[in-house]
Amino acid sequence: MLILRNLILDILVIALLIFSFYYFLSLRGLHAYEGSMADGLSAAYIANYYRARGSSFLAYVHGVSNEGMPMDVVGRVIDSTRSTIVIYSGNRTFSIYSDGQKVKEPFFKDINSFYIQMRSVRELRNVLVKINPISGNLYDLEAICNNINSVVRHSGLEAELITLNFYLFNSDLMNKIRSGDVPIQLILYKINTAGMGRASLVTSVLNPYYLSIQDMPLQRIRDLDGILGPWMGEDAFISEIEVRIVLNKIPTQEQISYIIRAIEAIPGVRFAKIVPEFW
Amino acid sequence: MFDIRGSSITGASATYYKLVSNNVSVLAGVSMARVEGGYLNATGKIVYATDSFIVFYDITKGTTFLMGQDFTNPAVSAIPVRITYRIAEDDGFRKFFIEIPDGDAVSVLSMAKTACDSVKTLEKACYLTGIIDVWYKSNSSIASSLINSLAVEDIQGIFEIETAGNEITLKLRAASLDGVRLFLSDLSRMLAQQGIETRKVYAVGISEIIVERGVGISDVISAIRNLGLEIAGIQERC
Repeated sequence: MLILRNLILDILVIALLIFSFYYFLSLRGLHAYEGSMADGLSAAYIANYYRARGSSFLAYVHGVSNEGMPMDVVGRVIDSTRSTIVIYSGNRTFSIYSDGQKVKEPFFKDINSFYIQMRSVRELRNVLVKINPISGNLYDLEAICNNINSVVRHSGLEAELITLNFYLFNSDLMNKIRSGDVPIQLILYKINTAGMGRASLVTSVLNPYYLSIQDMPLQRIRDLDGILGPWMGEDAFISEIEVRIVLNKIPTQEQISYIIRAIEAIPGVRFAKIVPEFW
Repeated sequence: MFDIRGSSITGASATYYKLVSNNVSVLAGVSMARVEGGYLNATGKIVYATDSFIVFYDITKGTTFLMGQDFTNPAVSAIPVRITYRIAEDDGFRKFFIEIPDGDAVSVLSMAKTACDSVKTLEKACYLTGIIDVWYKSNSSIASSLINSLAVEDIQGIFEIETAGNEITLKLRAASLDGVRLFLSDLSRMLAQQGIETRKVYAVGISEIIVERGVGISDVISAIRNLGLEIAGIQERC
């Protein structure tokens, strides 16, 4: 009788251990993080921590737009700075932080959040492409990106989103800024408020150097050209170009090797790689 | 009736948006200490709320206050002591969000004023959100604190001023339309007096909020559309 009771207890303990182990593994496997917070500072802190360790984030934000309308946005976290998360939804980016948070960014926010829910995912479907510097215009950059997009389509996949990071230097524009002949503050706000990513002027006290554009959706490159075009000279020097693509599905090994080989064959591309998260 | 004790702006704002998203009208009663001194009780509508600010329209006096708990922010005009909400199925107030195309600030503001005037009722208030950029010809830079002191006197609502290079940038959120117009006229007078020539004044991403009671929704829509403007949204309970 005692042996039988011990045996049943042993079985129960082993079953409990197996169940706990399975539960722990399934949680770890699905989401490294799932939770909610109120302000962009907490969201940025969590996003920075997990993104640096290879997790991507999906987010739901409830807040109020600058125009005063209550807003709900569901999208992918495409970037996080020290106090802001940037969400891509519907061909535009949203910078999210709250008025009350201690640390803020110089960029114009799009949504003042009351509630942010975030869930991490860990899937290998992000393609990072580095492009050699271009002496030309934004249309040259667009052409290379379109070629990259064609490769993705040819592999049987679709790009869920394509965003760009780059520096833009144009001596005419910089000289005009230096002499006060360009309303540069206005230009930066136009870019930052139109969901075209985040624009800033990298500068010293006296000399503007170059424009930094981060997280710009590819579809908005002509809008950017429309804003900058009237103030720029002919050719610009576009450098530090990163194209970030999120695929609509997890690629197979064959698709990965095709995508990398075909993208790297495009003139101007330095390298392409599949990464768990852009960081 | 809700009583937001402790006058927490965050709680009051979140409760407000929760209530209006549940399709009820909210009439706010506020007891507040004014920044310039004195105590005030007012009843009115919330125009715009974040976790730190509430733009409040006093219906009886027709004035606007920016409530906040940060004394150091020059835009804040009152510190709330007690906030109560009286909810009703429909109190007749509506909010209209109107998009105004980018352009020269004078014409954009006059378009906003025309849109505001086209809503024929006494119970209304008009507000602006967006960016106004004053670009001037001069080698002298102007201190933002000076411009701020000018703006504090004129504008009721959320605003921030930045000066860099030859530009004065005014960032607005739910700022009183008449206040913004007054500020721009004061600013251009000041610049002219100091011999600073204005190159251009741009208005970018401007949207107008009209809070009103007494005109039917369809009448407001047709009045605004007759001006060639787009309505971005209507809040039927606010």
